[in-house]
Amino acid sequence: MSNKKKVLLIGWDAADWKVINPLMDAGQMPALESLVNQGVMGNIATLDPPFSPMLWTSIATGKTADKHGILGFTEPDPEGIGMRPITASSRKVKAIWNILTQKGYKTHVVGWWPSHPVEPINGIMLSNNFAKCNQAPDKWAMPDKTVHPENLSRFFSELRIHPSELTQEHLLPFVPKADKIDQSKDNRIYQLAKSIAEASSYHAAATWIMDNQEWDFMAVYLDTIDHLCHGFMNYHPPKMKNISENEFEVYKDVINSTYRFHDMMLDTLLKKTDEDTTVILISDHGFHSDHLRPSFIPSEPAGPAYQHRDYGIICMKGPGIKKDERIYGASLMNITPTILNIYGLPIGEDMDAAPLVQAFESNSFPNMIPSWDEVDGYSGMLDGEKNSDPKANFEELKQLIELGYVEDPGENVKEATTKAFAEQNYNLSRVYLGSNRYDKAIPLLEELQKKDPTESRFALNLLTAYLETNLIEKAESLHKECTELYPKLVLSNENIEKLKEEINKSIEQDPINSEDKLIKEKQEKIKKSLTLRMAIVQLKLIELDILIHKNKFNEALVRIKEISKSMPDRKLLNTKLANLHLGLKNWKEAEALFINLLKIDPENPKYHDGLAIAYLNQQKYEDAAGSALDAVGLMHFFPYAHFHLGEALFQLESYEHAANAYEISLQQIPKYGKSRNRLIEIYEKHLPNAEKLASHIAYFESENSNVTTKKEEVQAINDIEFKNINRNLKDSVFIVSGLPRSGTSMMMQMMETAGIQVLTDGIRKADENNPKGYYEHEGAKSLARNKVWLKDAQGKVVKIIAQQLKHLPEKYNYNIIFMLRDIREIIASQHAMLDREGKKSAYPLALENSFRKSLLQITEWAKKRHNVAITFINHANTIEQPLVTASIIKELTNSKSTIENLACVVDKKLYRQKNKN
Amino acid sequence: MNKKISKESKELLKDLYSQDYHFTTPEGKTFPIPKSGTLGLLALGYQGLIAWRKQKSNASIVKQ
Repeated sequence: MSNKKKVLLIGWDAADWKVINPLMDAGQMPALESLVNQGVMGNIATLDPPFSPMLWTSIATGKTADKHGILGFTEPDPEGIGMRPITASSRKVKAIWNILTQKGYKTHVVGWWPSHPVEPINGIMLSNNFAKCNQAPDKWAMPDKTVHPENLSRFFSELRIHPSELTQEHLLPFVPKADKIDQSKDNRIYQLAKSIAEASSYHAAATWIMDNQEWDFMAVYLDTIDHLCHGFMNYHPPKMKNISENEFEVYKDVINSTYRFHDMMLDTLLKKTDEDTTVILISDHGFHSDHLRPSFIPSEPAGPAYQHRDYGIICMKGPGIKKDERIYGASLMNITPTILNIYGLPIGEDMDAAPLVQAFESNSFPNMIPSWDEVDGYSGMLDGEKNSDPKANFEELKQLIELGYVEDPGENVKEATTKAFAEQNYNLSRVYLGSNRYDKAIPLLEELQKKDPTESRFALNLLTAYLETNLIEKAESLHKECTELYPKLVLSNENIEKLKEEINKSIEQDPINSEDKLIKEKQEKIKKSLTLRMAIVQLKLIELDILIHKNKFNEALVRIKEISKSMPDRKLLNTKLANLHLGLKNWKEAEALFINLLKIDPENPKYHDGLAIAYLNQQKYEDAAGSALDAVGLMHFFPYAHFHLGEALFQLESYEHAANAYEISLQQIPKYGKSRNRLIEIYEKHLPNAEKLASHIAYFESENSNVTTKKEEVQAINDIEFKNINRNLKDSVFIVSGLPRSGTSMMMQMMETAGIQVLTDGIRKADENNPKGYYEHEGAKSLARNKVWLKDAQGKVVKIIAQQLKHLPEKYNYNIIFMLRDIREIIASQHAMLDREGKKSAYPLALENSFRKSLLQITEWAKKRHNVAITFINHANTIEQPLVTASIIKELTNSKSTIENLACVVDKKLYRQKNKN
Repeated sequence: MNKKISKESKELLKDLYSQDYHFTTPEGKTFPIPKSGTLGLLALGYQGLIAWRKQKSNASIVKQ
């Protein structure tokens, strides 16, 4: 070995193991099989939205689309004259080829999407327009800025193949019964020829570069699998119901032959590598090829992306890479960091993923730098240049329209520009939704929805965002608006049939003009109507979500039974029902439903995780571990599934493995306190490890916290000792707690006076029992089931009674002010309150023991939770010496209010029981 | 097609078409190149493509 590190990165858009595996098993993809056997393979998780130009740019930059700036298939033309296909000029950050150019590596890129106009990198770049062909051979010009260096344009144009150059020898392996096609009516064979010619052109250029140029990095991208899957996957076996026998027979071999052709090309590329080369083969997403193929594509730009599957492929071989192993947890954004790691280059801290260390025999963790975009030097990156090449744009746009990725903008340029902006904003909102940044997604979606209330995808995504952020009222209002509007826009079955008849008649009369504008408009009307019908179904499911968010579980259960009759998609309905049963703690029902759902979609990680939860709660720990393992095997970035795996292993007393699972969940969500508390328990009791224990405890603490250390104080009430637990917690939620009628409302008033914002919904109004108000939040009563409302509670104060504290989600830190009052006084006060409400009853003696038990548990509970600090405040002392309590609260909250002001809230008159006594 | 041809492109094209490309089967036999081409030749990359075009005797360099 020469120790010269080389990387060959091959991109096959939409390649999917579901098609590849049977072909490899049959020995029909020997090159890929050898790659798999000599290296590692696995699923690679795609990103949302699964639109290829965004995804391939995330692959090439290691960043999400909001950072890299490529936001879809099209973009507004910089001159404001409509839209154009997305260009490389819009990329805001360095791609891997820019970084390698900067470091002096010989770098070549062929066909990457988007890469037009080409960038002047340290090597050859052929843009994604290089092989696009929509003209006759004699008019087939290559657009400007397609080849870098420009002086090789003519040479590379010779390596392009025009579809008309192909013969039946090239096409028959794909369509053996091509003679049965009437090409005057069916132009799909030309589309096939075009795709084969394009792939062959890129391949010819790439092989020439590899043979004739020095190279350290070589990237080749082919979109052929994706394009042919969109055109022909519905003819792939098994036959779909809506496909005619005749068409199935003619086109059923296209997909398999496409993969076999790619394998043959791969074989050639692999033969041009040596033992110093790391080969990485990836796809950006998969493609449904079985019973999960959608039978209907919604009417929306990029609608065909509904055929994409969440998992693409990855395989790697090369120096230091494990052999014949499966890797888990790869995502598109791992690729650039992995390549940088191979070259020993640092990773940008602004990249959204780490290298795939699991693929390597030894885990050398890379150096980090803040950002490659801050590193000066020549990188070949286009300097915000707005390269507009009308010819190249026209060709590319035409192809995108043909594929259905882009709506035909028609002649109205202004409308097209508006549409292009809207699409970009919509895609950006999807990026935010996909990364749980709902606050950023909501304003974009609200604007889009306002501008076009008939576009159901805007409203449906907005509804999801509202629910995720607990904006229930807004969700209800929008839901109502859509529920009223959509049925008015839907065409009746009769009208749809009528339109279909008209379309068929027009095509029969003039088959050549089947793309006629009027026909297209009619087809669009039908599609739009069917899309709205689907949206109406989804609105019914969202109605269930709203009920669940309002804790109306039983009502949701009744509603789900009602709507099940009119619900065509059992999968969607049963998913909702299974989750509903989890919410209702009906573990057996949830288990049965998830098992059935997995029969339909065995690779759905959420179903495996749901099943794991159901098993866990039935103490079926081995089954739970198995299901959670399946979930994380399918989707590595799934912190909750790692936690459930940890829980199952913990119960099985497999502490080392449990710790590993908890650690992974924390890597993915460092704030996931449930995992951290378990780890503290493990490192304290089961696998003693002082260093790790300290590091986890330290996470909850911060020297810079606003909370100051309080003196340890022991108090006793009803012969129970209460000792403050002092922890400096960052970003904590203040909780005022205690048994009901222990002075919690008074303390809430004091906290409010201290300047801490009160989290209350104001539903329970002030009354005779609490003349100054209750300061309550309805969510606090159902904390066991609904914790979402606590999302915005950091830095605020909320009242939660003692018995509910155990349900606090462990992802936040809590600073609890716990009110202590003599239990007998509490009971008497409660009794008096009931008396005032006319609900007089006998003195509840049993309560005394129950309250005592609750109080005894408080300190034990808080001790185990390292995200909890607790300060006990004696109610009687507060009444007698309000200034003392006020000074504690002032210190605790770092309040600017004076101690006297804080003490003013204590109203001795309200201390009725004491006064009575 | 591009109107001007650079000196570099010209030389590379000349070199591309002046080479002889031979392919052998795994058994070591010379692989015959049919005039109508094959998918296998396309999969061989530029060498298969040029070999096929030469066989068709209509390579653009010859025309030039």
